[in-house]
Amino acid sequence: MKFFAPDDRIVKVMDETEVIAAICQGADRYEELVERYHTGLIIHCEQLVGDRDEAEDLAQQAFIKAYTHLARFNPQRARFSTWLHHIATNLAIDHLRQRSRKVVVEDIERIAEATMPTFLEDDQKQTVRRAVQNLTPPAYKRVIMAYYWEGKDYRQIARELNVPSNTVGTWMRRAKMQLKETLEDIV
Amino acid sequence: MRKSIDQLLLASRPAAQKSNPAFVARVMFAVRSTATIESFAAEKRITNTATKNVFGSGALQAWSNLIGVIFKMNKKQSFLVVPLVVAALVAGVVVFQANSPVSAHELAVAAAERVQQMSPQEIAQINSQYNQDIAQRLDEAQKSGSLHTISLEDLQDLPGSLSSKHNSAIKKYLEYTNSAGERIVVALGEDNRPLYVMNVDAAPTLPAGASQPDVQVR
Repeated sequence: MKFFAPDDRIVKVMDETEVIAAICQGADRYEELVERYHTGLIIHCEQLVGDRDEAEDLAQQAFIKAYTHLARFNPQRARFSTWLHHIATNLAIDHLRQRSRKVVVEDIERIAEATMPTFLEDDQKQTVRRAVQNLTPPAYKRVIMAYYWEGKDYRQIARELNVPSNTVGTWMRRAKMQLKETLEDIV
Repeated sequence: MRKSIDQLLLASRPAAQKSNPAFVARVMFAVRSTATIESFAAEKRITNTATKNVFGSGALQAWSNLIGVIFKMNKKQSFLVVPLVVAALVAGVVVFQANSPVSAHELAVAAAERVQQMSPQEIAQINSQYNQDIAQRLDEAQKSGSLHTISLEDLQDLPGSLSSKHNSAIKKYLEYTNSAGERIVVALGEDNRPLYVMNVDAAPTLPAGASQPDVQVR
């Protein structure tokens, strides 16, 4: 008899929906969602406002706003992570307007799109992880892992590697260029 | 649809990877406080008309303002913490003199309202006096040899200090023992500016179920 492996996406979305339903009924499980999505959300906000501290404040506001409006969230229309990132994008637009900057909403949405949550098959994830492992020199691998997976900012990475923040930025750009070449089939 | 490198890397983040526990703790503190505020306001509306008359339907708004100020604070706004705490003390004294029992929530409501009425000059003056006072205390503690730096992890093990994690403006914690033998923790921001003083041996009294032990001061 052949058993079908469960579709990772369906399992995860079901799991997420179940967690949200439980929270709406009073369960203290919101931390599971915060734990799961905070790294991506902070990076998303950082891309939009260009400052890590402001990004963390915005991400925090987005989590609180999502929590207080959770009953309105409709899992039939979007995944929680997508909804959360849209909340954060709107908060970032408001924030940029408050800083008296000229804000072109279309530009912001284009930047936001680059860090919106996306789905990858398991084998694609393995391909990406392998590509990161194979980055050379090893410092490139370290900056990518520290930033995207461990949630560290440039200052923390710079301290850890004992180099200036600018160097971290340069390594990050070069590492991403290497990855773009290696992963051109997925990108 | 094409995916960006950012998207690929974020989607490939290992599920078991823990990243920023301080941020998660800070968000959860804010979320739980929000829930507490809402249930507090709802409870007051339903069960305590006398309180409602005193604090009015503005209780929720005032609480929201207070928590909003504290949790939305960034480095530039963190100067408001001290006036909030001082206003809570002033409000506490006023209520105490009226011989009326007061909860941490009610103090916070009154404090938020008071700070909203303050001018920037008043806020600056309070901050200045407070900074001088704390600097003097720290100086004395250093001379007596009891002053030392503690980590966030150490702080989490101390009683009555749950609120200390929520503010990204905090850069360092110092601890000393005062003349009464109580452990005092001072949270410092940029340029060693004092933001909080917590008496960790005097945990605040909170309503049942509340998870918001706000700052216990001096």
